[in-house]
Amino acid sequence: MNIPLERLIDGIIATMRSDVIPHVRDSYARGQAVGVIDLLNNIAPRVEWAQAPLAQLVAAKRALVAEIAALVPEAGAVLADPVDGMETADDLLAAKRRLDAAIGDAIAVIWPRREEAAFGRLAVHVSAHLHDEMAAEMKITRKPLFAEIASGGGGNG
Amino acid sequence: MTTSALRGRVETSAAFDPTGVEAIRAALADFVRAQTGAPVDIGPLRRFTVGFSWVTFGFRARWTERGRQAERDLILRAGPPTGIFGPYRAYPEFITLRALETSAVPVPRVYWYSDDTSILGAPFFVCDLVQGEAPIPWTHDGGPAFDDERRVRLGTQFVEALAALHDFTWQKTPVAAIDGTRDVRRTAVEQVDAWMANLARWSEARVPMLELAAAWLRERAPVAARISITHGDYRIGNFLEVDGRITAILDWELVRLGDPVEDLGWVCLQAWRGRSPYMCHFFEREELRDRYAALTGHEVTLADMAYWEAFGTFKLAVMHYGATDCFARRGFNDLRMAGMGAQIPRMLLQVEAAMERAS
Repeated sequence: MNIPLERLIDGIIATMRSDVIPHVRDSYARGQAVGVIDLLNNIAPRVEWAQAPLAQLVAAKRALVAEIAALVPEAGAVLADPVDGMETADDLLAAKRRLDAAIGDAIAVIWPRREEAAFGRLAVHVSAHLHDEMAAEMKITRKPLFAEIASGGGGNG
Repeated sequence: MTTSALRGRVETSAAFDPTGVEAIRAALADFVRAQTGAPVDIGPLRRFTVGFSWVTFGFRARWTERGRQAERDLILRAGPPTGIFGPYRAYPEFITLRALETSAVPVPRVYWYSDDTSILGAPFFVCDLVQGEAPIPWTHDGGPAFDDERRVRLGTQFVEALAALHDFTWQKTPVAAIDGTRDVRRTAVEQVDAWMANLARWSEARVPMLELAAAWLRERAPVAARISITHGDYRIGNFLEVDGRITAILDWELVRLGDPVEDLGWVCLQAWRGRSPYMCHFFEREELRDRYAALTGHEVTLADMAYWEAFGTFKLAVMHYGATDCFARRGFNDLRMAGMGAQIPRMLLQVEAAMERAS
């Protein structure tokens, strides 16, 4: 998820307040909906995005950038960022953003030269990294409920 | 507002509040009265929950135009500044729909529009309410959306309308003034550049997978055989049907001039068919190609369709970043937008798969 968790929870609460609760006719159901807001208000200051997968991802990206830097030295500048002291998920997300920028810049150099053997191998490794990153994300991404959303519910999800 | 007035004009923006229906109704009545120069009666507005970006209201209206009384059920479509593709303009959609009124493309009749955001706080246009239901690509079990008889019946009209759109002679109509690419060698590359610019606008973080896709798409960009009006979002979910008859093609907000094969590629996206082997739940790729060629007289290769399918998947992935951004940074609280953000990994893998298929 690339939405800040705090904003996500605020948005859920706002939607419950303005778009859901005013249209819930049953008083018990309305109370339960307010209960959702109450819980979200209390969960918000206590949670952040899971750090372990982010830390793994940052490590994988640093390894890739180190490999890239052997052929594209300017990509290696981002490796000077300190790896210690990343104490929050936001720190890790910021590190991931800087590494992705370096990888993006490197793609612009590697892609046109991929017919050269060394650059070709690197292009394959970059593609494999990007694939693995998304495949790992998919393991924790649930099937979208678009059919239910579009039809106004009716399933158990 | 007439078709020529206010084009490209941006006034001081009023705040657009889609829940303030009485204020919208009053402002709309004033606007229509000014356009027609006669009294107008706008009935209560009811909001429809369709669409992911423009806000849609239905209402009954009575007005006088050129001395004749009219009373009809109408639709008001407003493009909120916080919407996925905001800031919007109503002009391209309005003049395209007006130009197509006499064509074989089923479209709602349009009446008035304005891009002056001081009126409602958002660009808007008014058109006829067309009867019908919009079949959607997502089914509860991921299976077919139609039985075979309905699939072929609706699919035939779906391709006929697309062929009619692409064959429409736009050159001497006001549509010639809308955005797009007229150079057959540049249409794909300019589309890739435009959507990468959107990505940069919508995502603070770089997205290497899409940067790689953009490099791939630029390198393989085909030369268009012709330049047509392209709908930009032509698919199941964006038309209305009644008893097996398509009554209107909707959602023209991405309309532009470009390579018509772009629309064919968009029809083929994985996202519009689930596990169905049929593009948009209608036809397999080969049959879609053959039917289109028979109607237009233009042969299209599966390779070009695959290229534009890859481009379309890339474009849809970028749209997911737009949805994420309008929730995360523009204060748009529609949870469907956040939900699209959660599906970005799925989209990026589909981009990768579409590129592999087209390679």
